[in-house]
Amino acid sequence: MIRIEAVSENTLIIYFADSIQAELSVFIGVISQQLKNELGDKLIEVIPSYTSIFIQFDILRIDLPTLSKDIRAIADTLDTEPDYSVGKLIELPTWYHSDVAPDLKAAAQHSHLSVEEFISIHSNKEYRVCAIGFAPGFAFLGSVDSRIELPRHDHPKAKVSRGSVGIAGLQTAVYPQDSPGGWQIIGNCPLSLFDPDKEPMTPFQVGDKVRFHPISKSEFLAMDGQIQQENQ
Amino acid sequence: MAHGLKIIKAGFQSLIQDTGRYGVGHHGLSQGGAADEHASRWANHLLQNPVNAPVLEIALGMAEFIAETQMTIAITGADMSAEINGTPIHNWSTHQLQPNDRLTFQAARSGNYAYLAVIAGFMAKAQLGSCSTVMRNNIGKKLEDGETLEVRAEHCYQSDIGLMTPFRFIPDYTRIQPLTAIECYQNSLFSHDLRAKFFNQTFTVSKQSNRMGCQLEGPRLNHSIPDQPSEGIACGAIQIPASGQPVILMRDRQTIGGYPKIGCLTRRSISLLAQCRAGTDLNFESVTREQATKEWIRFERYFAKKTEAPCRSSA
Repeated sequence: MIRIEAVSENTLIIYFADSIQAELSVFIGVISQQLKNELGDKLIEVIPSYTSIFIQFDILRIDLPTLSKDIRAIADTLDTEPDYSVGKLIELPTWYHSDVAPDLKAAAQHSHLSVEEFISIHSNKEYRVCAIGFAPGFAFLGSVDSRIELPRHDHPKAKVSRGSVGIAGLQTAVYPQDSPGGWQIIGNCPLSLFDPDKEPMTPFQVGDKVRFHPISKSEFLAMDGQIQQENQ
Repeated sequence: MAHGLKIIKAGFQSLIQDTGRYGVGHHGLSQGGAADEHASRWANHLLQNPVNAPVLEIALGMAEFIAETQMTIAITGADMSAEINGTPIHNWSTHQLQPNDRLTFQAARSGNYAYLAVIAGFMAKAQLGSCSTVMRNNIGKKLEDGETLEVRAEHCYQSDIGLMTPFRFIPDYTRIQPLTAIECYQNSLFSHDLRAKFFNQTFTVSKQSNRMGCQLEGPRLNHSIPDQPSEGIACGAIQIPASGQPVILMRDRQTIGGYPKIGCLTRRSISLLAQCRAGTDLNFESVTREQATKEWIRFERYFAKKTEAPCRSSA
């Protein structure tokens, strides 16, 4: 069921499916961990994503045919129907308010919902971390209820504030640091989601579960949440 | 007081680099590392340094340094007409600096990046297992005029070293054709005609090129292959977005992406491409992964085992 393809001298990619299925990330998360545990320092980099795991290996320690055989053996020992209760649950306190979410009102309008309904739909679902990338600690979460699906901005914003909770298509995510970005911003999470000096530097791993939890302005400020000028 | 190499002029962009930051890609952190692995490894090799010793990567030149203490250095990569106290010195060689010696680099005559190494490496702060600067991840920073690069004072000078890279290992950055690429990733989704176009026609390095990626101008490879679910990106991956303009992803690339990829540059060619100026003509030749792998294993073993000593400098 898995497809292993060579990429370059010391990289390969394992494909698990051709299209995105949020639940697949549970299996991909489990097997990524298993590969690291069993193959240790033969692997230099293991990057799980929506439908694949990219691997950079140490060419002086293992060759492609041997590694492919090892990967198949490890994949075969794992249940193809993983226990969907696995993956830790991460709660993200979020203040949904136009003071920190420049697109919230327009987004609700676009979806023909009241702001309250919009917030309740976004915060009443458990999401899965499907991939981490774009920026350090940026976790792509799938998938939002189709009633709150939103297009990306036509022109990306030069600066999206740290903590911004965005939606693009059926995906939602938090910007861990100030960065350019084109997602529609509907809230802000005051937690630090990327700190290279901390262990772990980000709470997210592919396969984890994430839930947004609405908080008030005073709770937001008590957690050191920042209201940046340009949002007001 | 810190002793080391004082930066009088940092030039266009001077960064501390080593072989890169590994094992953190799943958090979305870029690998970074010296843009030209061939030249940077030679700089360390000439000094018998560990492969991973931090070196200074000087982009485009116009940089100037003063030694605050005695040290043995090596310079490799782009030819920036380096001088010590106004006297021209050989590139791809080791040199001795005495206290107050002035080391200068002019604008690069060819290539983009020169490497400056010191015995035992520059003392830089390692973050997540590497000293490589990745500005887009806010790890490390662009060096500024007036800073001092610290050296390991007791170990950084060896009076009897005088070595240079053998000529056959010194590339001519104005004549690097063709670059080699492995056909992989979504290669089979591209039509036969588009693949032939990529491997038969001439492209030009665009001005929009940096440590993250190299954009190519010239023939457009327009296609209607849909974007793929984002997946891990190898160094050298050749993305063809819908605009048809290829982008080759380099050391500071993002970790995942969904544009269709027609192949991946070989490791040797990635180093050469990093040295190509905007406007350089490029042709690509298809090689098998096996062929490229053999070559890369030879390269890795050469620097890992130090079997072949660099030759004595004539200077």
